[in-house]
Amino acid sequence: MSEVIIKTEKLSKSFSVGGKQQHVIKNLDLEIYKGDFTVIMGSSGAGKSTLLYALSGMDKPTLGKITYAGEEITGLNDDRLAIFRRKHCGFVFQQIHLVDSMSIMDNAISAGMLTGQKQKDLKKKALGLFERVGISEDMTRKFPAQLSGGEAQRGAMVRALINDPDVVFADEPTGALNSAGVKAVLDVLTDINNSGQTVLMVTHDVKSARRADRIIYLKDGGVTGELRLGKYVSEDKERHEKIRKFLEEMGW
Amino acid sequence: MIKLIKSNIHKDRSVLIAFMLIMIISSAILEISLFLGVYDKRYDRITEEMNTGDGVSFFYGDSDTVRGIMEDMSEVESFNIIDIILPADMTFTLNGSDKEKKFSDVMYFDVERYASFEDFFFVEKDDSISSDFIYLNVYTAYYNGIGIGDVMHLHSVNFGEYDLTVAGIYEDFMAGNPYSYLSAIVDDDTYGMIKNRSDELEASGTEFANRRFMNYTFADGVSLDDGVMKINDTVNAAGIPIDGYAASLAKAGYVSALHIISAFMTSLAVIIMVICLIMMVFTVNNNIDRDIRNIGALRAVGYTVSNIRAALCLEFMGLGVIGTVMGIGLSYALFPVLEKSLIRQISGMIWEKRFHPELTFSLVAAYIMIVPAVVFLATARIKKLHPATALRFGLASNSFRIRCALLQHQDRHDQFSDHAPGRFSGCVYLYHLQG
Repeated sequence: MSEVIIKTEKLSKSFSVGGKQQHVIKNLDLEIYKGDFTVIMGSSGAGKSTLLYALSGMDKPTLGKITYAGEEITGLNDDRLAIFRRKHCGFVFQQIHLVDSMSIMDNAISAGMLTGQKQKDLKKKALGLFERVGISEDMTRKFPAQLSGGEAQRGAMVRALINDPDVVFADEPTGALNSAGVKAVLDVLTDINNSGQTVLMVTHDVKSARRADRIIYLKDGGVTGELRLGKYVSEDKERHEKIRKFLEEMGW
Repeated sequence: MIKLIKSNIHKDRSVLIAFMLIMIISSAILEISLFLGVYDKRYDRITEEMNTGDGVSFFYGDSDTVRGIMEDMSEVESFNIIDIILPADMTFTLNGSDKEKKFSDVMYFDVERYASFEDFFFVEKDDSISSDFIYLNVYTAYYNGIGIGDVMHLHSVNFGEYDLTVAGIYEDFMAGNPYSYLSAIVDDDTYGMIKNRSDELEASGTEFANRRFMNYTFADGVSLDDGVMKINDTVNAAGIPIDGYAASLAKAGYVSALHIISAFMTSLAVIIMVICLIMMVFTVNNNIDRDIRNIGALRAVGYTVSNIRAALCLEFMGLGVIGTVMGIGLSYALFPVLEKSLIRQISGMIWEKRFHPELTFSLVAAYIMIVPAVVFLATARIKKLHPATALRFGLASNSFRIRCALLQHQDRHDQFSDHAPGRFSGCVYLYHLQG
């Protein structure tokens, strides 16, 4: 069994909307394993993104505990959580969220400089990462608005990877992309996972879910099912069928 | 953080340029107003160094009588009496032009007898002109646009005509402002000619231009105004017409107009700066709203609230420093021109010390402190901006308010009652109360 990197105990998250408490995640016990490509699926409003944000320290749980590599993060204040995120987490968002007034190189470097790395070293590292995700050096000088969705999202991945995070959190990273962009982004995520990077992705796209070696299904704030697939192989035709059946059972 | 500051500046450059221009104008005006305030201290310093005295008087009559009165007055510590001539109808033209100007209210001093003139601060002097020359005070020279080397043709029906070359311009701290008699120093020969003519006119009863100029110092503890009043009353009582004023009144003639201008400029600069700061607050707030997603993304990747606020404060502080320094530079460039073209005509004094580090650095320090402090306060709302919330607020289609699950009606003894007490156990109890 792989090492547990994130663990939750009776995790709950509620929001107050119009004076009423709305319980999005309820009493969730979950373990995320190191080196896994874990995908969280569920219907709209199931709490997928909320769970992702809670696990990454972006959002504080209402109740319960989250431990990260054995250390509890639930009691940390906002600034300590920010410091935790910069050291341990990488983020890829559906809307990409690169700072639009910085080039994609500067977006990556500025994230890297938060951990005290020197700019010169960061640039070298970033160039290596950009090459890995298929972005040329010329393109790194461009601003996000000057790139296609897929290119910008791959640029965001470089930002996510610049600090060698323990976990890459991806919140529907292919949601705003065309099919070519989707494939490019998923190929990168698969590639980094194959190199040992832990990836935790939220998606409602079955094609994206095929890349996972573990799918968790979320419903009404709790985990209602889990599917273990093993590492992704592109020619694996049975994989899609397994996922389809699983989702059917879950009421997808 | 430097990358973040650079990107913010790149994004907001047009607004920042506008702010910078406002700060340049504001700091330039404020620095100039501070320069004007320096004249007051300079006047005090120089009059003390030159020992110009506590008051001056002008009288027409026997100087021995006045000397006796002054020696008998316990309030007077020391005094000095000099002969002068005050022609009433003198006019002048300059360098052969036809334009005639009045030159009345000018007291003529003899360069040989006015020993203290060497203590005067000469702004400009040409020692090569050794005869038929005149020295003018700063106010007279600059008000009439007269410079070194200019030839003044003095004309008076009673006193005759004289061609004198301007050989020096000096500061006179008692008789050299728009509200007092004005001094002029002529060479000995010229003075002699004017004096002879004045004596003739006096003897014929036509004009009484001979005067005595007296300056004096009071003993410690004597009120200047009371002292001058006593001198005037005592000498008048002796049948000698006399008029005089205290040094404080003399000073007012030099600096009061500058005080008014300085106060006006300070108010204007402060109003401009306050408006600029208010606009900054609005801009910062608008930028936070505009960049709420960026802020969420920055928080997500690990920027703390302090990092983001510091970036904004440093951005505006840099703007404040650059704008202030440029404004101060502009003031140092403009003030000499302003001083020569206007201030000397108003005050009769010159701007002696060219660099005032205490004014310059204190102004820069003030802007450095005020601008980031205001921006820091304006960014306070970032503290309440949760990264997840910030990202959601920027995504209308993924708004939690639309997609959140509705509250399910649950049994009182639901799974939440099994929760171990945590930081937010209060929420559990509240839920039970609502149920």
